[in-house]
Amino acid sequence: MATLRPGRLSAGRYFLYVAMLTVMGIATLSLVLPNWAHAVKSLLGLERPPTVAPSSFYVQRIAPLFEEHCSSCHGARRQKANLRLDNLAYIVRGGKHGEVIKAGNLRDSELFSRIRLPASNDQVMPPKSKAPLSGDEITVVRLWIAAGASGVQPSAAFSEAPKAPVRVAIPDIDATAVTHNRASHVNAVRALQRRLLDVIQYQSRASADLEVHATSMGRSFGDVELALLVEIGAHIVWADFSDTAITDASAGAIKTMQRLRVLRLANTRISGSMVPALVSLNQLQSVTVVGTAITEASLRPLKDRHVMIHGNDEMANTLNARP
Amino acid sequence: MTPFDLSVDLNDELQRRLIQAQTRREFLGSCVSGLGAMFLGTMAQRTLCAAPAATLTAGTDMRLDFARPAAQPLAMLPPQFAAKARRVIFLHMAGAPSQLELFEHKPLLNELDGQDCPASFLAGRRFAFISGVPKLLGAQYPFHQVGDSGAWISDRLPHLEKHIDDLCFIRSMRTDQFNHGPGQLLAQTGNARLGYASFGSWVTYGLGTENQNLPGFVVLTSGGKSPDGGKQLWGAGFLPSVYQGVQCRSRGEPVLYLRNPAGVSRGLRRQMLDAIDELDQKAYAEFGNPETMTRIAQYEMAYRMQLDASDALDVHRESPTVQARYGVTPGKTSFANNCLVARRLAERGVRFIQLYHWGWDSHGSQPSEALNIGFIERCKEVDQPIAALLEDLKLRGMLDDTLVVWGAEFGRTPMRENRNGQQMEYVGRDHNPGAFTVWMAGGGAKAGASYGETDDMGYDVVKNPVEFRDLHATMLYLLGFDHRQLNYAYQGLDQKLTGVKPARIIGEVLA
Repeated sequence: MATLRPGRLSAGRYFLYVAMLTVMGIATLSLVLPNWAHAVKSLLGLERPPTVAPSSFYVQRIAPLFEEHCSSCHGARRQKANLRLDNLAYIVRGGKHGEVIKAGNLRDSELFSRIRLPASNDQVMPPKSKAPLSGDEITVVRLWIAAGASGVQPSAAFSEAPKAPVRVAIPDIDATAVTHNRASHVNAVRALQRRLLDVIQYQSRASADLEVHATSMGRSFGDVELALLVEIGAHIVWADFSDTAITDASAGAIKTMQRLRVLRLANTRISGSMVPALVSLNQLQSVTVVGTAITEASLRPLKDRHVMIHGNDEMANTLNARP
Repeated sequence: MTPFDLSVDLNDELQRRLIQAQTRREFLGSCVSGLGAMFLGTMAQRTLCAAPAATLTAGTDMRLDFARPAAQPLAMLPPQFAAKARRVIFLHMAGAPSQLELFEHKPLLNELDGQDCPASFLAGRRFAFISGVPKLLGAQYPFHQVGDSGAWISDRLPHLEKHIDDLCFIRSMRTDQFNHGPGQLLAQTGNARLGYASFGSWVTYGLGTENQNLPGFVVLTSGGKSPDGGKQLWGAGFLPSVYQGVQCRSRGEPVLYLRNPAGVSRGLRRQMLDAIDELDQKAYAEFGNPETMTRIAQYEMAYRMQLDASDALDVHRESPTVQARYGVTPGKTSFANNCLVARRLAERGVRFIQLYHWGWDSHGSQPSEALNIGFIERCKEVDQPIAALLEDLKLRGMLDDTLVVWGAEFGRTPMRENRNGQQMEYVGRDHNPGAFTVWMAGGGAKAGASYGETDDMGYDVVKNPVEFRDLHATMLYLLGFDHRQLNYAYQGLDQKLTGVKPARIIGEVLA
């Protein structure tokens, strides 16, 4: 039976060995898992993440590009080859096989070599099944690495960079705001929607403004129906009364629709008496009077305000009125 | 354990028992459990699929609600955000016209006309008919620059040319389909396979239609043949079938069998429909199948259409001056007639109007498909009517919110087709999915713009490639939808027109 012999290993030595083994362990781990080492270092405050400015070329051009083409495999969700490209700190660190970008040195930047490989090469990135980077996108990456792969260098410094693709933002629908904005007329709209099917509609799911599509009702929509709209007149921004039976008697009702931007009155029995009502609409951008008795000359005040007038008199008589 | 796993286990069990060579009694016994498993499997799938559809459409913040009263499946709904386009007129040139004879000016190709095609053009490419080493083929018609935009156009479209500054060109379209049927399906349904909902179906599903006396989605064909992709091109796929396109005719009866048969009055027809309606309502109460409601809605629409459709589709109600401007041929089916009908439908609030004109497959194998013969005719057939359509929409201010799209399923090669490796009698080009041109006009598309570039031969895209899903996403954006949010739960997936691959809204072509 083995017996413990106290005194052989002093307490000091024991702790020294333990400490040495710990350091060696950490060193080995750091070699095997460089990302882990970086995480430890930044946790201890030994490593500061690179500074990133919102106006930088990196934020405006490089980050969205990597996000689109790379981050599905090298991002928060998956880290193939232990590489992440969704944050400058990770990009600088590199992956399993070391650094992927050498600032100012294109030839030794693995990332750059890989995106430039021909599509037939097994090593090409993004891989064959994914869309390759376009010529413009490769140029953007090249310029950025060549200029030092910085997170602060502003876009203005990259004058020769190809134009950035236009990104389209989709507005969110704020349900509370919509309810609030519609509160004043929501009941009136609902009642009228029941009375006039598929004529009145909100401009969008996010809007409290209204559109009127009366043209599909044809001649069964007339001055009486239009008069019903006065109640919600202030909220109507777009209206099409073309081919309906409305007459000059609706001038007063139309005058209440002070926020109208687009008004279509093609092929209706309106005439010069409607003109003052049209001229009173201060926000009007486009008006259609083709096929009516209104002359373009009488709409002069609107023309002076750069309202688009669709009323080519010569063409008007070639248009047919609906029976 | 979910019911689905259960079915898998039962199948395994069935396999195991079959493998053991057994008696007939055992064999029959296992057959029964196998059938049972299959039954359980389908039932499980039904319940699994039905459940999410029901809970998800209930309306969380993110999910758009497209619910409508069951009897009004085409009722108007507002778009997600304020839209530029309120309706679409899609002009599909079935067969794929040559971009190199219309909009793509390639001087270097003209210089190299008649030379052998470089091997690099042929390696790894598949062609419908080209074999061996074909010759390069320069443009068959002279090009010139027009308008403030300075766009290049050939001499084949003298009328459309006057509207060049209204057009927004996408010159870098490409597709992965090189046969007409799948190509057209991809262009119109976002998927090259059968069974997906067409663009028009998605739009009528999302927005409904303004005029309940006409279909919300109308299809008109011309050119002597229907497009290769067949009626699936305007099918509703997995969407309720009330959203499918209705094919109308621009001569004779607009919709076949729409008229009451001899001896049946409108009153009698009404009584008949009321009786059928009652039966259908009972069936719906019992089984709850939404297709029953679709059927009721379609009967009712047909009844209303009896009055309105004949008027809307009758080009003879237009003055002779207007008919002449379109180049209408009375009493015949033509693209010109269809363009005039398209305008009449757009005026009446039809949401999605689709025109197919067949005959652009200019291989050079016969006169009608030759760039130097049939192609000339096709150009004449579409040039004047399209120009008149754009003019009319503009005149009424409607071009501002009508998105007109002209395009096809793919483009044509810069090489002359050499079927079986031999020079052919007529001049033609083969299919090229690598590059083709589409233009949009009105509806919030940027007038006078040009997006994307092809190489010096017009063979491949070199700048800003656009897939159909990108085009669809852009069109849906103009109609007021985020393409990711116009979706429909089916087979465990939120189905979208743009599919599962990421699509890009092309901001560069928005006005």
